Amino acid sequence: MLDLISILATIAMFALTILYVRGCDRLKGTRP
Amino acid sequence: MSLNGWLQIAVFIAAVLLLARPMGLYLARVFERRRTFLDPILTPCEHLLYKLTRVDPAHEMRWSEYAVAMLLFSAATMLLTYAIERLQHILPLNPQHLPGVEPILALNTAISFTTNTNWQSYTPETTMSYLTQMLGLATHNFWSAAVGIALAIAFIRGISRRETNLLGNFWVDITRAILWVLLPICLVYSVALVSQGVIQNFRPYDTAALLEPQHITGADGKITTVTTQTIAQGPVASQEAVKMLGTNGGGFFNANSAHPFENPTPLSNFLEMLSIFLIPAGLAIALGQMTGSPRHGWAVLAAMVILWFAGVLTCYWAESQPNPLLHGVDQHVSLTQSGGNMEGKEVRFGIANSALFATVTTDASCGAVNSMHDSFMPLGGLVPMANILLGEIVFGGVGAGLYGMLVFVILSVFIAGLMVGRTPEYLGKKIEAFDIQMAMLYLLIFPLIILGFSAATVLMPSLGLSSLANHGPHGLSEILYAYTSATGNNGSAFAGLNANTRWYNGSLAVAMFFGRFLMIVPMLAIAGNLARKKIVPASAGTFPVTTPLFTMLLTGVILIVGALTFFPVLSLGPVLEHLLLRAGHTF
Repeated sequence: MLDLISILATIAMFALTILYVRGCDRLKGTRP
Repeated sequence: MSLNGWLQIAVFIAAVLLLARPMGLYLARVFERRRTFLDPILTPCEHLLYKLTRVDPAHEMRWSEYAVAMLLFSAATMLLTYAIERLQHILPLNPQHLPGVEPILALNTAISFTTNTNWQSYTPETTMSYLTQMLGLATHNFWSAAVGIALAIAFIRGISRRETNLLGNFWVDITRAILWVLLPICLVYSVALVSQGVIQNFRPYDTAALLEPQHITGADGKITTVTTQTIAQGPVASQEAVKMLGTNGGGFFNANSAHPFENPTPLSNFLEMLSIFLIPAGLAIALGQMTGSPRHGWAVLAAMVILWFAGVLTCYWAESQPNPLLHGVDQHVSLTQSGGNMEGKEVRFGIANSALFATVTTDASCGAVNSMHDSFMPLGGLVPMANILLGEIVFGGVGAGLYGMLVFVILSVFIAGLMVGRTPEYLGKKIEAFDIQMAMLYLLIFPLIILGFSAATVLMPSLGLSSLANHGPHGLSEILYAYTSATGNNGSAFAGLNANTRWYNGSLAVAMFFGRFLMIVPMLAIAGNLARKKIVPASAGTFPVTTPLFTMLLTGVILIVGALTFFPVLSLGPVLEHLLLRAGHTF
């Protein structure tokens, strides 16, 4: 059970960080 | 303090500065894909790797694609390490028959090594098998260091390129960082360490009979007689080399570089310190080379050296002072004793090399230790903590130090622009609102994680305070140091704190993860934005970034930001402990 939680927590943290990348990318300034 | 000690410190920084230029020129050649002497051997390997992994080396990435590639790579390697740790009991190279690592500890360790932190909540020689040390942990020492170098190079490209949105190819950059930089140096370096007595074997642990049996009284009052000592073995030299060169810091043994099998001689100690600063110093020079402004690279390196010197001066001075509570004891330097505070220090290194090592390992985000920081005098212990709190930019971790420093450079240029009332420029690029927004995001995430977790821990006696060995201001320092070290991806510990609990393993894992990745994203966003811009010709109003004035402004901005952010909590920790020690109180 703890293994499942650990793996899901890792995936969730990376997914959140990718969303954070998308969020920063949507801000004015980095689009060509 | 002694002349001998200062001479050794002077030789160390002279060696760093001598090696910085050749290292920087080599790094610039590697990442600009110019010819190097290793090409005949490594180019075929590189092409084979791209073919096997179906990577197109000609494909260049936008900043967001670069960031996502880095995140996916980190996620895959983190989960691999987690699996190896959990399954080590059924995998080979486990002569001690160690069980699988407990899940939360395995997650903490996987995050720790993926983020280049190498925080260790466990005792390696009784927890990790040889396979886990090599395949799960040492590989991360290469990968996480290569990721840091790749990110710094991407940032430099953002500064040097114009009117493009491309920063390079992440897969190409980490491949070249590993093949051209880390592997060749580690190969030679690990053999040099073996020559000094660092061990390299796969033997089961040795057992030695004690000359004088020890009687130990257990918690239940039962007396046990110990007649033997277990001496841990393992493939240490190969891991030690990249542990220092990659500013990783995770020891093969619990005692880290204080262990005679990891760091046996003064020469191995010198090489280990030198290798921590080698790539970060080289990257500063590579910055100057790749942006066409070599003097700018030296100006940035000069700021690093000034901050390093302030740290080592304070730490060496504090550790050389006699302990005011030891009345009637001669604590001065003489031919027969080191003088000052030798608690927690190795006699073979002495005070100068312990203070220097502590400063170097926390200036860079290495975290290896050759003495116990928890045993330093309060102001001596303040130095390693303050070094990390400045943002790990004084040389810093491989790559991470340079890109952190460049965020401060952008802030300094912005402040200089405000002072003269002109739009700030950095090497011909106008610094605009988006760049400063991202720079502030980068700078604010760091204290938010450290102070947030430290405050939460202090407020939870059953979870946070029950693990402390000391109370009062020293206890606060132990908690603060743990979250500072984790968020700064340093990995050294103040000890005195049992961090192998669910709260600390979980919260420190989160601090390490967000301290690494949430700071990388705004940094890459700045790089992507800078690459888009046109070059503006320098004018009379342009603030030059190649002069001593720039170096002083940069140093001042770093110190002011760090001091304003963390002075209140430092005053409640080591500063208060120092004052109370003078009044006769210890904790």
